[in-house]
Amino acid sequence: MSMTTMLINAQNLGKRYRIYANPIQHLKALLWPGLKGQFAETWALRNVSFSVCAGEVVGIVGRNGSGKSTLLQLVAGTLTPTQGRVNVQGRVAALLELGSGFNADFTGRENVFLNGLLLGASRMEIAERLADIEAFAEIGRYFDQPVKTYSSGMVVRLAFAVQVLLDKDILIVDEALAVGDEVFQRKCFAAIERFREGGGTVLFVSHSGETIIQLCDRALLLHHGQLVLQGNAKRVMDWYHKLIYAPVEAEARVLARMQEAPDAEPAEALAVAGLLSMASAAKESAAVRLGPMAEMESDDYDPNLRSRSVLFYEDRGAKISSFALYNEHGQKVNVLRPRQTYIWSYNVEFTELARRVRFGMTIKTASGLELGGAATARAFQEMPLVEAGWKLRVCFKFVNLLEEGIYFLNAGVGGEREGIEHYLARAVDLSVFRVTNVENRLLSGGPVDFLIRARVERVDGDQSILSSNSDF
Amino acid sequence: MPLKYHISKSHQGLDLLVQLIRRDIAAQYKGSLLGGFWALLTPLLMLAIYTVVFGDIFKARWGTVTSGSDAPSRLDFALNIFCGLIVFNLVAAVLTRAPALIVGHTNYVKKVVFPLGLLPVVVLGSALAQTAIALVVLMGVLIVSGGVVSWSAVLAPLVILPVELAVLGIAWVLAALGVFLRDLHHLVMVAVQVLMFLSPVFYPLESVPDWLRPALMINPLAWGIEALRKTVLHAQLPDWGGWVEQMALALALGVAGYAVFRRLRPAFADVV
Repeated sequence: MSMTTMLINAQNLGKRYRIYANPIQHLKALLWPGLKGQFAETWALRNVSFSVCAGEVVGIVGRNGSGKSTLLQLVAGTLTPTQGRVNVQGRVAALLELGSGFNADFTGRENVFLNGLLLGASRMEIAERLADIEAFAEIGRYFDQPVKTYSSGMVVRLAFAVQVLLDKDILIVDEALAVGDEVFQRKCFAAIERFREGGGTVLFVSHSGETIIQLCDRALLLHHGQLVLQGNAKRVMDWYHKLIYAPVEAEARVLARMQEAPDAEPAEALAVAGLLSMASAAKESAAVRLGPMAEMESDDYDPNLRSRSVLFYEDRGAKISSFALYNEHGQKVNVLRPRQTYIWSYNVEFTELARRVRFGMTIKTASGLELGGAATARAFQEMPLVEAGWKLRVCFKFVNLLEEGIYFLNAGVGGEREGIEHYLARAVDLSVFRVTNVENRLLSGGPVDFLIRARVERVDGDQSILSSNSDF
Repeated sequence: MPLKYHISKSHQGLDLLVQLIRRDIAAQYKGSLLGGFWALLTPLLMLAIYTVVFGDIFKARWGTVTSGSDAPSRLDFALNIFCGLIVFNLVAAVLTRAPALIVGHTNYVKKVVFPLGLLPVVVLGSALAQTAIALVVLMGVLIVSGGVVSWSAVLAPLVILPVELAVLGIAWVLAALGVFLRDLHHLVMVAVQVLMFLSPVFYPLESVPDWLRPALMINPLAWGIEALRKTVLHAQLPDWGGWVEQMALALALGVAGYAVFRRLRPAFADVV
C-alpha cells in the first residue's frame, strides 16, 4: 500500500454511556427508542476526528479516563460508536487489555488457532506461523497446557505473539507491553519496529512519554473525551506533561493556549499567548546575566544554537528566570568538548513562601530520552524554607560524557507549597548544547561516552600489539 | 471488494464455525474417562431404559397406530419416545444454553472482534452432532431388532430442519435478552420442562383431544417429532405441504430472532 492510503478515518466519533437504574430499563430503551428511561449520561468520547495513513505509528496519550481505551476499542470494533463513524481498512490486530479473547479451558495452541481465525487468518496461514508464534511467546511446555494455568505474563506473551506474527495491516496496542519482563518488552518493541519498517500501521496507547516519543511519528492528546491536540509526538508529549502537571485552576488556560496555536512550537505558542515573562528571555540569550563571568563568551558558543522547544510549566510560586551553560573558566558555551567539566546554572525567583525546596536538572537526547540528571534531594541539600522575594542561583557541575550530538537540558524546582509536594517551577528543553569535534576517538553507537579505549594484539605467539589507544 | 475476497471471508467464517463447534463438543467430554464414547453410550442407555420401563414394566402400547410389522414389539413404545426425545433434546440443549451464552463469553464481547451471532449457531451445531449420533443409534437398533430401515429415513435430517431454524431464531433472542435479564436462564429451564410435556414426546399427536390439537401444532416441535416418527419408524413420506408451512414459520422466526439480536448487539459491550 502506498504511504498516502488512509487506513483509519474517524469522523466526529463519540461514545456515550447511559447508566440505567436497572438492566430492564436499558433493554426497554433499546427496543423502544422513543421511550424516556431513567439514566445518567456520560460521554466517554466526543467529537473526535482524525485519520491515520498506512505506515504511520500514532500514539494516544491522556490521563486515566480521558477516553484512550474507548477510542482504541472503537477503532478495533469491539465497541459501537454512539455518534459519528470510523472507517477502518485492512486487517486489524488488537491487543486490548490482557489475553485478548482467550478461552481459559483450552490450550495455548488451540487458542492460537481460534485467535488467528478471529483475526481473519486462514488455518493454513496459522499452521505456517505456529512454530514462530510458539518460539516468540517463550512459554515452553505451557503451549500445550490450558490457558487457565498460565501466569498473566504468559497470557500476554502468547497474545502478543499471535497478534504480531500473523499478517495484518493495522496493529492496535493498549498498554499491554507494560506486563512482561524487560527482555520481552524489548522483543515486543523490536517486533513493532520491524512491522513499522515493513510499512505497517500502529495505533498505540501508553503512559510512557519515552515510549511514545521513541515509537511514534505522531500523537493524539485526549482530555476528558475530547481530542485536544494532535501532531508531532514530542510536541504533543510536552503539552501533555504541561497539562497533567498544571494546577486544576490553570487547566482551562493551558488548554485554551494549546488550541489557539496548535501547530506552533510550544514555546512560540506560549510567547504568542503572552503566558510567560520568560518566553522572551529564552529566545534572547544576551539577557542572561550571571555575575562577572557571564559576559565572556568563548569560541565554543554558537549563537544560532538555541532551543526551539522551550516549555515552561505553570509557575507555582517560583520562576526560573535566567540560565546558561559555562565552561570551567566561566565562559558561556553551548558547544561542549568531550570529558571536560561544565556548569549548568539557572536562577530562581521565589514569589511565594515555599518549604523543603529542591532543585533538579536533566540531560536528554534530541528524541527526548532522559540520559541522566540530578536533584538536590537529600536532607542536607534541600532548603527547609525559602521566603517570597528570594533570588537563588543553582549550579550543577558535570563532566561531559556524551558522544557527538545535540542534547537538551531541563531545569526544575520542587517543594512544598501549602503542605503539598509540587513542581514549583519547571522548564523542559530550556537549553540546548552540541557535543562536537571528537578527535582521535573510536566510532561509537549510542549517546554515552564510557571512556572506552581499545587495543588489538596478536595472541598466537607473536605477542605484538597491532593497534592501541595511547592511554590504554 | 472483489468476489474472491468475499469467498475467502465466508470460507474463513466457516473455518471459525467448525473450529468452535469442535471445541464446544470437545469441552463437553474433556476430562471424562470415556470421552466421546459417552455421545454414543447415552442414547443407547436411554433406549435400553425406556424399553425395560415402558415395554416390560408398563407394557404400554403406542396410541392406536400399529407399526409396519404385524404386532408391535416391546421396543415399539421406546422407539417412539426416543424419536420424540431426539428432537426435544436438540431443542432443550440449545434453549437452556442460549441465555448464558453471551454473558459466559465476556472475552468475546469486550476484547476481540468476534461474530457473536455465531455463538447460538455453534451451540446448535454441537447439539446437532448429538442428534446425528442418536439418529445413528436409532437406525442401528432398528436394524439389529430385525426391522427394516425404510429409505424414507434418509429424510430425517430434512424433516427436523424447520425445528433447527426455529430454535436458532429463539436462541438468538434468548442470548441477546440474557445479557440484560440474568433471571432468564432460570425461566428458560422451567419453560423447557413445560415444553417437554406440551410436545408429543411421551404420547402420539392423535391422542391429543381435538380442541387442544391446534394449540399443539403451533409448537414447531410437534410437527418435527411426528414427521420423524413417520419417516424413520413408519416408512412414510412426510406431509410436504406441512413441511413448507413449517419452514416458512421457522424462517420467519429465524429472521426475526436474528433481527432482535442485531438490534441489541451494540449494547452488549456496555452491559456485560
